[in-house]
Amino acid sequence: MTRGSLATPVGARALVAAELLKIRSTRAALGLMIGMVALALIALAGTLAAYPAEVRLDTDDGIGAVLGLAGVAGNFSLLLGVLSSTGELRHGTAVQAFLAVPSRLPVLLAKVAACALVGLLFAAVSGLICLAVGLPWLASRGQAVSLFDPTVWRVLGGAGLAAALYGALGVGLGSLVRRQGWALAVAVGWFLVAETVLLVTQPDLAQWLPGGAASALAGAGAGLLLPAGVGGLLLAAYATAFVGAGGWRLDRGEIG
Amino acid sequence: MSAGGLATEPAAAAVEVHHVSKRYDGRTVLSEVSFRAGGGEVTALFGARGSGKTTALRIILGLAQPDEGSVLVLGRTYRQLDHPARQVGAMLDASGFHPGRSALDHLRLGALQAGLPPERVEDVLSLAGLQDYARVRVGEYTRDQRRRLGIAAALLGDPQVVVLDEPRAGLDDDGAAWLEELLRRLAAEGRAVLVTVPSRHELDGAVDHVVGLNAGLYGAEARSGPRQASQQTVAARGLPRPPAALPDERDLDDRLQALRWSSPPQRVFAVVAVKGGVGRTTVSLALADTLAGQAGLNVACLDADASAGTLVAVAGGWDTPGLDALVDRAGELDAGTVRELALVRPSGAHVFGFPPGAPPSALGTEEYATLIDLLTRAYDTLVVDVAGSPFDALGALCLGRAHHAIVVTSGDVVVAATTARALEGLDPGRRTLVVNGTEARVASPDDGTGLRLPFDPSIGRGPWQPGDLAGATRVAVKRLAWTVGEAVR
Repeated sequence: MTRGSLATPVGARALVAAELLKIRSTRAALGLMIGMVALALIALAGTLAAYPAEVRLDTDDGIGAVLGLAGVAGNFSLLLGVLSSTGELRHGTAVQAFLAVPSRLPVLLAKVAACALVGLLFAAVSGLICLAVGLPWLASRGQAVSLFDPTVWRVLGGAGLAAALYGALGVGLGSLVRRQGWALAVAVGWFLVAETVLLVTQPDLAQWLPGGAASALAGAGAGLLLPAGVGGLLLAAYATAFVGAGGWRLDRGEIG
Repeated sequence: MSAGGLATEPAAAAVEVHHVSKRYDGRTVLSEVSFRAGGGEVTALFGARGSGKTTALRIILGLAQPDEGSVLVLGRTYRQLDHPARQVGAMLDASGFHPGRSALDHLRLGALQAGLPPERVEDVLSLAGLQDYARVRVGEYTRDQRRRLGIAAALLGDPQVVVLDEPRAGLDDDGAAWLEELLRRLAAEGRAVLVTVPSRHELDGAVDHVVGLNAGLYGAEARSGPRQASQQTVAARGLPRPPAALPDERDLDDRLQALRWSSPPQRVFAVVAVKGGVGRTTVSLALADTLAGQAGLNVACLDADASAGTLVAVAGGWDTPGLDALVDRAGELDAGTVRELALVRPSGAHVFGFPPGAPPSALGTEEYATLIDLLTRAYDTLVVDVAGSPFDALGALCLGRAHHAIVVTSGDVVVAATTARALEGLDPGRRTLVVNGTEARVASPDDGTGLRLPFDPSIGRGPWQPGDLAGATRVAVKRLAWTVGEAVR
């Protein structure tokens, strides 16, 4: 082998493939997937028990309440993004990436893309679970909803988009905070717990936060939250802001 | 490296470091460091832990920015390289792996990120002897295997410049032999190889040049290794940290024990005085006893006085073989044998000197350099009791090899003035002044780094043990041990 023919320029596709291989080659993503499936089933069971038979759930709001549970994928996508970015610094593997691509930003954007893609995968799995459990249950109540109802796919599509954006946000958050413990504490403490509490107690405020925007995007909280499209734009703005801030810190920070 | 084929482009002046300084949180890690590593050579950056070796490598690799100075790799900054992964291969430490990822996936990732063909993965796995462990998770690897994997990853791009941070660490004997052969081969292929080593004799069989970083109070050192390549001019100097605040007496014991875990290996302390009779030998022994007994360090105390035998007399031993015997056998002694020849104190500290009453010896500075090298290989801490003047050749040698100097003086005005002159030649952050005697006068050259050591007149009159020290003296010695231990940490 000669040096002249050894390497080819590193393209965006190769970097995204490398990031996907990073996710595939450890057990973290699988663990998160298992956790997500368990939580989705628990949430579905809770929802099924919460609605008396006389409540109509074959409406847009009802479909949002049942199938919108697929949005649980966003929580795990956020954690995946955080673990993915902070894990690189924790285990020192960021050095390998930044020695090959010293400008750093392409590596971050590849990670954002990879985590967004895996977020979509999470949402696809949670959506399938919601469909597999939710639609037969609704039919058993005499409130059958067609698989081809546009609302079904609007809700599941929104949950998928929210999960993808949450994955990107998690990468940005992790790159900004850098320390894995702190980043996870912020992700769980604020994004997953505090915002959920605020959604119940202060919906006027919470609708403008990432969690409220994600819920709106996934079709939940009709009438209380922003329209789905506005929620999606707002969540995209949050994700962009976090990725931008994380990229800024990553570019200026020292590695290793 | 035949794993990837022969290198054809010589990498002359592949790495050039010019007057680089770096500070973290107000602490100077590198100051005015300059050196170069050329193609076809193995250059070793030597320094104790904390001397800035890894920081220097991170700056070379563009992972950290220098506060001052510049670094060029193949004539450019790292970020300006056309294809860094092909031009430079690096291993910074053995922790650069996800423990849950297999070696195969780790290398595949490296190849993907660097745009390298997948077959390179098999090449370097084979080079590192890890083919049979490729699918094992790195968390299950031995230290030897992790180090081999790190080196394999560094060679993925068949690079012109190879940068390896402490590549010997964790390797077993077979691994060390493999490494030396690999380094020689890489250099023979025209590559520039830059490694860091914690001790100046590590990888002796492969290294052409050693660049001393924080190598001693007087800074730079360069030497050619066994391969006898050309000498180069080196100016490398590590820098001091400010003197640490003294802890409360009650905390001293705990802090001394903590030194065991936080201190770097290969510390050398030189204890000097401008005049006899101020307690230099006492301080040397007390320091060695405290570092061994209280901090649990592996300590030797060397009498740098060719004829006196004072240290051994005070230490209470009579059957030491003498320093000249050690010098004569230096080439054949391994660390274990050296330790067997020592006079062992109850504290666990080992003492090397001349038996009292032995005939005067003709050991010179070269012989003492040999002794210091021998003992730093066998012990992680060496206290050198420098008899005679700090201004003469032997004093300069000992101070030059030391990471920290302890200057013992009395409160006497004349002694104080001479001591002040000696202190001027030493880096303020790397020396500690001990003013011995309860009657120290105002004129003592205590510049704020000094420790008051109440003089115990019974010491020095014969064999003594740490328990003989008066309470206040014992506390002062503990403070001294902690202060100098912190200073070199």
